[in-house]
Amino acid sequence: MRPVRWDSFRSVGAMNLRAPVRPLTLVRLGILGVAIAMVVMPLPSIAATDAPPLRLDQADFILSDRPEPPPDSAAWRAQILPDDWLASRPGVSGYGWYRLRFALPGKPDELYALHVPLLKSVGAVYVNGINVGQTGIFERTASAERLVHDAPLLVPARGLFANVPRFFSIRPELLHAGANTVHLRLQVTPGASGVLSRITVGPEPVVRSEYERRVFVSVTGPRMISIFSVGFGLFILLLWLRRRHESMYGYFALTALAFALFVAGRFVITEPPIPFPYWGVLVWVGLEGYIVFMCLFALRYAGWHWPRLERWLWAYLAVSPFIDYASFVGIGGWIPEHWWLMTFVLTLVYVGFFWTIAGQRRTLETLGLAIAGSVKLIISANERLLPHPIDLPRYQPFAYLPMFIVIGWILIDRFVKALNESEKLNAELEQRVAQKHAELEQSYQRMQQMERQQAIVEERRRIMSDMHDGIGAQLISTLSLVEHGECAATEVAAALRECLDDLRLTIDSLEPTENDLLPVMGNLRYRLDERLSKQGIDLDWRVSEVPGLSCLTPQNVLHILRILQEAFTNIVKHAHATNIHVETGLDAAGEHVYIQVRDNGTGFSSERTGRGLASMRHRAKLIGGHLDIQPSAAGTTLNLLLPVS
Amino acid sequence: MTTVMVVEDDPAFLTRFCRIVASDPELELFAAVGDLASARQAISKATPDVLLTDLGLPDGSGIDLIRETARRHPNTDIMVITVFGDEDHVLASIEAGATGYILKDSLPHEFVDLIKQLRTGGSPISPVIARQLLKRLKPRGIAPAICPTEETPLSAREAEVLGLIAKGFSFGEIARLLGVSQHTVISHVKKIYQKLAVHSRGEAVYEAGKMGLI
Repeated sequence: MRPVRWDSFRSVGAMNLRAPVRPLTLVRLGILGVAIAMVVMPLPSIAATDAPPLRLDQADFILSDRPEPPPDSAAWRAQILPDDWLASRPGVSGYGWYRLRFALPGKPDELYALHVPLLKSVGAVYVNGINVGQTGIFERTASAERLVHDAPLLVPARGLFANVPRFFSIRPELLHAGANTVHLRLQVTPGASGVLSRITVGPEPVVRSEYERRVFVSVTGPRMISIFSVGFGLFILLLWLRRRHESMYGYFALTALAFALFVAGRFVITEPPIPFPYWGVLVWVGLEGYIVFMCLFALRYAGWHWPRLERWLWAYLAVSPFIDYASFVGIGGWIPEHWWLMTFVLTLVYVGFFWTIAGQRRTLETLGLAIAGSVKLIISANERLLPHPIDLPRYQPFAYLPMFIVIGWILIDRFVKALNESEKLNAELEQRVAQKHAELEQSYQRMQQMERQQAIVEERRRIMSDMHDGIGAQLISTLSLVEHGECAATEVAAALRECLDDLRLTIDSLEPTENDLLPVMGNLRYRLDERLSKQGIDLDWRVSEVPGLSCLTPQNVLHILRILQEAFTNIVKHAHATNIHVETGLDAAGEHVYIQVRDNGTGFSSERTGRGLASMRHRAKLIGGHLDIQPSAAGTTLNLLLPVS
Repeated sequence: MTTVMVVEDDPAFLTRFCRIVASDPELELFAAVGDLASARQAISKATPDVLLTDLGLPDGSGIDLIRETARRHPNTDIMVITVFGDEDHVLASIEAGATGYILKDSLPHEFVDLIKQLRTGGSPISPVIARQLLKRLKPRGIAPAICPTEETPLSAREAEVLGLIAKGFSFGEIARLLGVSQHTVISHVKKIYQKLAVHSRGEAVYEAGKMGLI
């Protein structure tokens, strides 16, 4: 059984490396251009005078434990770069030497440099026999043709994750005109990977700018992307926690976090925090996770309810760690080895979803999602399905950037729209409130006007009826007296004065009382005083403050005035009194205000005043009050009770 | 002798009134005219001690006559002649500078008594008028510049007197209740009338100031 290792997926491409597929190169170049443009990488300017760098892909190789470069007489064999030990010499560990030759037209007088885009695991470089640099520390182990499945499974696969390009400066005095030789020593520890990429040699500025670009794509970029993904994911996660019902945000947050785990594990972290197969499983679950979550996000975004598909996706995610583990430790055969293809299938699924949504909705937003998904699909397909030389930079970490940009844009768009909407609603609400307010005001005014008119009508009716029964009747009787010539001028004058008094009474009843009884009483007295004093009757005025009476409408005031006027008239005409006591107050129960009129006269027989009394009682009833008259030998006591509320 | 001038467009009343004045030895008729123009002409030469005027005159309002007379002849006591003694007529007259009112149907002796009372510093007042005065003369946030010397136009004692009048108490009863002479009570009322006139002028100035006229 062939051992399956960490880099087994990549080996699909690596094994086909030497079969050149020309048309794909164009596609790849295009994608590289897009990827680089996406990254917005600052490109260092290259001096035009510099000679172009030499790219070395022809080397000789020898497996040797010698600490110095082996002599040319040793058994070198030709080797094309890049060289992946997993493909070229599977199961082998130990020390290998590479020998590369290049020619210079003349002895250079400027600093030269050597760039190794990919070097695993530990290497040292010699130029014309002189050591110019070393990466890491060589371990004291002998070379051995040992199969990996003999090695302990849980050895940390050091160097597996190192995608760090190497840069070595070469002093000009080390170089000759004509032929120069570079020796490169590589140590591959058991279970670890051994890779040597193609090598670039040239003037230092040119090589450095190439090196720096490579550092950005392979090291700095992925670091930034993973940090950004974590931040973005947490931000969206917080957003979702505040808006639980929008589960699409939750799924997107999980996508970003899983993607961050994958990028960090695959491209950034060189020293795994947990032992190898488990670390590998974790990172791979990150990969499978972000794709599953992206599918769920797409479903939520579209608003499609396909519970069966969702169950399958979750099941896939639950099963994946076990199959990944089987794949890493090399058991299970074909299925574990090709399980990773599922991620590609699912990527196709969600990109398909996005295009369907874009086709249905035809909005910029949905189109953006579809295109961003497609970018990811193309980058994945390019690096995973097609032959991909091991030393070419990988753009997978950048594959999700368009998606993040589109989703960030969607979020901002929604936020701004929601804000605008709420502002608009507020404004509309205010306007509506103002409108309602105006309407209310209008109807209130209308109502007030109607009330006023009603009041005027009622008041007119009241005055009319009062004139009819009061002064009108009096004037008619006086007129008939005069016409019959039955009375003296003084009698007519007295009758007319009564008319005037009655008119004044009516006018007094129109006086606003503000529920206060005392002005009513005060006015009554003012009107009566003259007559009483002429009759030689003393008035004992003992009014005192009483609670406000809501019954004091003009109508009722007139009733009260007429009752009291009648009472006084009776006293003056019939009682022969010399003193009248008038008192106001609150009764013991506190429910009635009483007006008491007490005289010291001889009383009056009810036959003579019967009609008057009945009328007084009737008026008292109309007010909602009560009239009580107590005649006695010592005088008559009249009590008019008025309700307080 | 008290000279009395009467302005009234009803000739019957004018005749009756002239008779009443002529029958009293202490009163002398200054003039009896029926319209505003004649009245103005009459007071342009000399001034009566007492002016009685109706409000509804054929060629204008008695209010104008009251206002002019009050301004040019502050020593003349002015009374308005009214049928009902209702607040609208009486208060407007007092604001213009009258210090009393007289009911048209008063008996001859009442006329004479009122004129004499007015000359000795007493003004007639009804509970309704007292109540209105109480309401109007309460402080209403008038600018201090207009009433520089008093916060409240009414003194506490004056307000008390007005309150008792509004409840129907007679001058004699009020004098007893407050422990002062009846004359003091009566003169309080005249002072209150004058205050209303000053007050309304102040308000007019205040309103004019608000409208930007001064």
